Amino acid sequence: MTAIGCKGVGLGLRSPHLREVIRDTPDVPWFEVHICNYMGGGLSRALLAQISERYPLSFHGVNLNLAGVEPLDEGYLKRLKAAVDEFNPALVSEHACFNTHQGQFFHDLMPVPFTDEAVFHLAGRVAQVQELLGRPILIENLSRYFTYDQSEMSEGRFMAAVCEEADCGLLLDLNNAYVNQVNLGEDLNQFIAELPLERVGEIHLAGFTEQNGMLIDTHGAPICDAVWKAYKDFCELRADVPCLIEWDNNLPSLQTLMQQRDVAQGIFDEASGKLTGVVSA
Amino acid sequence: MKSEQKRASLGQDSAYNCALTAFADAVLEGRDDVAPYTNNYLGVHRMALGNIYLCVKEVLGDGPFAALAGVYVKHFPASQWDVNRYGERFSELLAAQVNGVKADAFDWPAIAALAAIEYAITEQYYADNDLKHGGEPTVIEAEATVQLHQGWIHRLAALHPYADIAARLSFESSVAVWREDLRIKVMPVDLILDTGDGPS
Repeated sequence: MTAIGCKGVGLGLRSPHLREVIRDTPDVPWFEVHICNYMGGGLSRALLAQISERYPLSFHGVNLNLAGVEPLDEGYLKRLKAAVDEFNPALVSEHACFNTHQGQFFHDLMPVPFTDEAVFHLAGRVAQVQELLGRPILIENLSRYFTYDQSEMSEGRFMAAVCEEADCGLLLDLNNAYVNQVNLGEDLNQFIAELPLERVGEIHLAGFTEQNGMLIDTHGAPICDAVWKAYKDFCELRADVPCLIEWDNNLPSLQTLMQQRDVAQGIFDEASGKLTGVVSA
Repeated sequence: MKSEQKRASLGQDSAYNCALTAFADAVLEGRDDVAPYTNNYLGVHRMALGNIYLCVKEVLGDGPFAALAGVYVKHFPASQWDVNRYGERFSELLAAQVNGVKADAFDWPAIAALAAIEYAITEQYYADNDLKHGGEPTVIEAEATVQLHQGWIHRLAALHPYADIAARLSFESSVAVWREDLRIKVMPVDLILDTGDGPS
């Protein structure tokens, strides 16, 4: 199978929409899947094969435990490599987080202290994964609800250092950055200014839910105005980065997702037109 | 790799390891300053149960299901990275309700059997492939008197549209769940023997 690039604005594909996408082949340039749901065989894998015949894919992981301290799960990596080799996705990404500790599986994206020790540890494991897969991966910034006292640097500098050290790409989640700004008082623009923009290989946009005075990154609501603005601002800097609409909880119809996608595509097209001198209709 | 010497594996006493341990412990203890993570830990596993046990949830109703799911999550930590396989012992918890305070509220043995079937459907959905079929067939056994209500079977079929489910599911013989190409089959073993249809 030939790798086809992810261009423009794609959608996160969730299981309830698989059959509809296969049947109706909606006008979406590419899809991202949570690869953890397709690492066995099974019906889900067979459906993914059908999707991949029509659409470029991005593989997004949530279980690699990249920043964990236990050895990387060889069985998981073997399955991931088999899936990557079979489908040859345009992008492969994971999170800068730990999911497992001392045998306890949290199934959550848990933060780490931003220290030199963490930079080298995480970068070493990213490099290990890249070596095994034979290709670069992107690592994603987190939404966070806790700050470690041990942190020695900002998240922006941490992500930049890991990317440099591991020579990997960056998946920039603007909703996560906005959630961190509101919850933790971290400046979104400063965060972006500290990132190596040339390494950004994908953007994520999503919605949050307000709970007990905090913004929780539930991916369960439309994208808010502030995140749309952040996306517009980013496109002024780089208008060639594939962007993804993520929605997981309270999953709406594919039509609703398409509406969000169309808004993002409009922003992307306008910025691309400005940069190339072509005015979009 | 640029800084090989700095990437030596972390020891148990490294500051990084200790920080992660303290954080993980705080999440499991439900400490206030990590409350969103504790809520997420409980919520993601309750949601996993809700996604797997769609029909059981309908039969019990949201409230009773949420209560039982909450009990399960507190006592049965996930044993692997794949959250789609969480809840493998939920049917045991349901079966044990015959001894609980709501023993008479539901037909617990039948609901436990229904749960076992739903878990097997999910297993087959994600099962590894072999040359022709899906993973090994799952065989579910229950007391011979257990019979799934007809309405449940209709809902089971509606909620799992990729499964072909026998019109009648009793446990006079075992019930087998397996996959053939893109369909999941749910059928009593005696019916398979009668018709010659079944996993090969």
